[in-house]
Amino acid sequence: MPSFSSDAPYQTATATLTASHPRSIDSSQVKTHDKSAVGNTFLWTNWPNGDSGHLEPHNHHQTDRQLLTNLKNGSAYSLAGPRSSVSSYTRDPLQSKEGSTYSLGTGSTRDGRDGGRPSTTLEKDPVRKSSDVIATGAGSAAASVSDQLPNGTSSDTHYQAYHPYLPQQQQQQQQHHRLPNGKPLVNGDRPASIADSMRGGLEPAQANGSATYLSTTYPPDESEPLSPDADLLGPRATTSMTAAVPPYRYSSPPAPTTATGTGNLDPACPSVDSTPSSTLRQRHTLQVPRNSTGGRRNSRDQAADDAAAAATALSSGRLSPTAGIRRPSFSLARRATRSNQSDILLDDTMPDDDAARWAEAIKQRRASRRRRREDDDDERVIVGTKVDQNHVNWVTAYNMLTGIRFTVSRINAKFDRELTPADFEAKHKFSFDITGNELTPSAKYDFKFKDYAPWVFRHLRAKFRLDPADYLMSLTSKYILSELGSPGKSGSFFYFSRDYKYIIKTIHHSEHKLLRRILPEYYKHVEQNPNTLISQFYGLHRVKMAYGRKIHFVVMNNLFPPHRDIHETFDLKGSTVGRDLREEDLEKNPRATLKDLNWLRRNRRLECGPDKREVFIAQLRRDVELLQRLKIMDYSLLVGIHDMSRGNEEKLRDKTLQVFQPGGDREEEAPEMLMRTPSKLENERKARELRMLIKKERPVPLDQAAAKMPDEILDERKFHIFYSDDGGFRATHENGAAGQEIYYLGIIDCLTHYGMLKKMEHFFKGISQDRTQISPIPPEGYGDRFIKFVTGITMSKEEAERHREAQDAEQRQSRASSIERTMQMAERQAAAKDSSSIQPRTIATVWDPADASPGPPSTLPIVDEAGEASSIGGHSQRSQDRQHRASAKGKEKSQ
Amino acid sequence: MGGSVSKIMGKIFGTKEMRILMLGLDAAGKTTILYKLKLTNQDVTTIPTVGFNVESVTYKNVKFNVWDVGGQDKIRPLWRHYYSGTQGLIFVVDSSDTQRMDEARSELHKIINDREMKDALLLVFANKQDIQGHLSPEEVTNALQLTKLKDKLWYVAPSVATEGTGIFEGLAWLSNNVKTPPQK
Repeated sequence: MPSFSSDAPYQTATATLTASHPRSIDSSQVKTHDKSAVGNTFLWTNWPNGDSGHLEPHNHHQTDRQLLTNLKNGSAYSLAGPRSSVSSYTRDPLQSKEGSTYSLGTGSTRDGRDGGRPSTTLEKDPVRKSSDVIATGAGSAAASVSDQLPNGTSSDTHYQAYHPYLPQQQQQQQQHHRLPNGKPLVNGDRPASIADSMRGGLEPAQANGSATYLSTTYPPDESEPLSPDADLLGPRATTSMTAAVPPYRYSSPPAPTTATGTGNLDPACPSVDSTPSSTLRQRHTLQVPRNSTGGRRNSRDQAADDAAAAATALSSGRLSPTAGIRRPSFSLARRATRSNQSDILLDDTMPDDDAARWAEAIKQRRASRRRRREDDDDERVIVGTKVDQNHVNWVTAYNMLTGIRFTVSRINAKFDRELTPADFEAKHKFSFDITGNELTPSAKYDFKFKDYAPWVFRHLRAKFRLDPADYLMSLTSKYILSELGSPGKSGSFFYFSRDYKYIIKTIHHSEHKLLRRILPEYYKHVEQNPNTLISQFYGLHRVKMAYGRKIHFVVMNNLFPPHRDIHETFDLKGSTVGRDLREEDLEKNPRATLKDLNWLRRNRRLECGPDKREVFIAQLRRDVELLQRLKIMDYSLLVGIHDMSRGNEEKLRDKTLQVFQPGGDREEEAPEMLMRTPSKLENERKARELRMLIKKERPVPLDQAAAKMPDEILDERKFHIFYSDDGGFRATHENGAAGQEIYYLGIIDCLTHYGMLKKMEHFFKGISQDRTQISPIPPEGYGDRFIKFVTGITMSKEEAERHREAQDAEQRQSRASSIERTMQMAERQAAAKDSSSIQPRTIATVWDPADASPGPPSTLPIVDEAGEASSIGGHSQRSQDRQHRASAKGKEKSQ
Repeated sequence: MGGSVSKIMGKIFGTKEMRILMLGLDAAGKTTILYKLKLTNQDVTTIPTVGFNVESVTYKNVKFNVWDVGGQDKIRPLWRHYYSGTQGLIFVVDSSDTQRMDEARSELHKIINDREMKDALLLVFANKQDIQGHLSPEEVTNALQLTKLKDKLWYVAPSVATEGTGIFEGLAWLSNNVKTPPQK
């Protein structure tokens, strides 16, 4: 049963989400009202269908109006056809408070459904789903405020939450039409208490004869301004809550509502009911809009959207001024208000023991809030801004992490043994589902996971000095990943582990095949070259979801450290054709990765003293040799430069990264929340709120995170020559003294085989360009050129200077070789193209005073011939480069 | 599939299946117990488990699907990923490690307070009863504050995992107390 129910809700939820987008806010509300005749048991299965059907018809405001009027009459619930009446709520945010009240009233009707719940409880999964939604919705009140305006936004959540209710509704309608009436008291309170008061909701959840439910008030979390929307949503939310935890319910005081209930024709009355729900619903609102929009949308946008929404709301006047004012203080101040409200309500209507319950509930809430906060700290990602779940790819990410945890745990628990050739071919397939089986633990989603050469990768991880426990923990202890803005040129997605140590990269099937083929060679190479610069692969897996594509992915090292800002990033291939990032683009996205021509234009070097240079180049040679042998090309040297004089103050990392939490633990628990005791629910909500708060107010929790950030070298890195200086490779002067920069280097993208495609590309590109300079060339040539280029740019500052002088002199007489000439031409092009725009870049590294070319780029010596000082530094970039190249050449010869 | 066939057979002949999660502090003897259950009469050598071992043991007509998850403190946060669907929790305590009883208690309570574990039976193995200075099962009970638990079926069984004593008695308790077979 559980599995069944859970699946159904999930799917439905997704379906609804997508559907909802196009729709206006109104439609979403309509759903809440739907009352199908279906028995509770049927609900799950039925509702998706029924739901969708309902939604459409309900969209009309007219109906809503009618309903409202009906409500006023007091008979509205019963009168209206199950759906139609319900559906009539108007979502319009614009509506006056009265309008909102109406909606509330409807909401109360809904509440009735709660009574029906028993069946719901049984089916845990659906409930969970709804609860999740709710939980998300619970996000900070502020968020909700902003969101609410666009009421439609929240609709998604509503849908999700909604389905569990349906059965309840039915029951209620039939049995307890009147119950909602009891709420009127609440309504009265509301106006008095101002918007805030809205929160205290009373639910008439009598339906099943469990009268106790009726009065339950939820702690109203959110802002009142939302009220119209909130109210509408509210009922549903409440319903869901009740359904989930029929017996528990918050300590909520029993039915004051019933007593009061009869009289309320007032729209306000319903509002009272809705209030309780409003908390929930507000969450919905908050989250939902995001979710719905955010679902397909980049997580990043959300924050902006929220802000925008809030702004619009204020400007449009939709929100009450209070709301605007309140916002900043939501967390604590609000709570207080809320509880007051609820208290007030109790005073009016509730007996003493109700009050006691309330007190208890509040206490619980507070405690859980505290706990939440702690938890939240724990969940913060080191780098980046955390965006909540509902990312398009979160199911994928969840599955990836679950699969990794499972396979790595499985292999690491075994006795170590020597590898056999068969281990390189090995692959194991597992299928995960909600119940789990003898081999696999239960997972939230159904998917298949394939693990390749587990033993080999276990050994590789050991060779790279990864601690298995650390590996497991940082990747999979929580479902938190951060996603790199967008897939690269290759179409690969990149995800960073929570601590920024590992990268999960989706790869193409051809890359996958290549990696498997070269695995033995790669393994041998790593064995012999523990300091290899080639990407470190820690795992190769495949995930496939039901009806989904097969997604291959690798886990590898993240070259860049979590604790250092990378001020400039270069991707160097040694090719000059098309290897340029336009400076204009750079201005738009200062974090963009620069390429060869940018490097040359900036006249940069990998400043290494002779010792380091030697080690570095030697390793590079060995690595490239391997790649050449494996017929691999198109790799590049990734260089991240941390300028120590700038330190971490610019918080660049936060700007580069989007973090999302694919269904984090929160998520996992959320579904169950409904089944749990109320305090848990509260927890959930609080967490959401907190998170929203953090997100809204200070999207970049770096300062807090900073405390957690490792200041020393990462453990596993200190054994690696090139990653041991603070996780990187420190620049040095000729005498070995440390320089101002730390380089984070590695050979990346080394899974491109020189096959037919690349040969074709070589041919066609070769037609129009210099064949030696285009990027796709045969692996041998590619490797040589790569080495030559890197060698040419690796030298200490002093050395560079010397070379330059010698070179300048020499240059006058000597003719440049053909390659040099091309390079020069390319440089010239580059310089001509961008010389004017290069300077204004704010992000440019601080020029070291010792640096030779501090001069304005505008004076770049396009026209100058060698050696003529273009600027204070005395040397043109071009001439410098020429020198580097020449020196590199000389080196090579000597070697 | 073989699995489904055996499931059907199980239904016909009344074999029950039980999903067991075995947790406990590091070096409590979880893996040893697991393999003693599995390979009854053989000597077992184990390494600290980073990750998990899983074995199926059939005893008294009940098929126990036992998950043994490593207990090093670093990886304890991973435990909760195994909670879902668990019908029985075996918590293994090193009875001779009196200093870490408190730690064991707090870990245990953390586990059973999790919602997903609320229906699970709790079997505590007071392991290493052969070591000098061990606590008796009663003392272990007190140290773990099991009597405080409400709505929980629990049982403390003394055991010596290396010799295999006591562990099947524990399983017997589980099989006798498992309620309805897992809802499928």
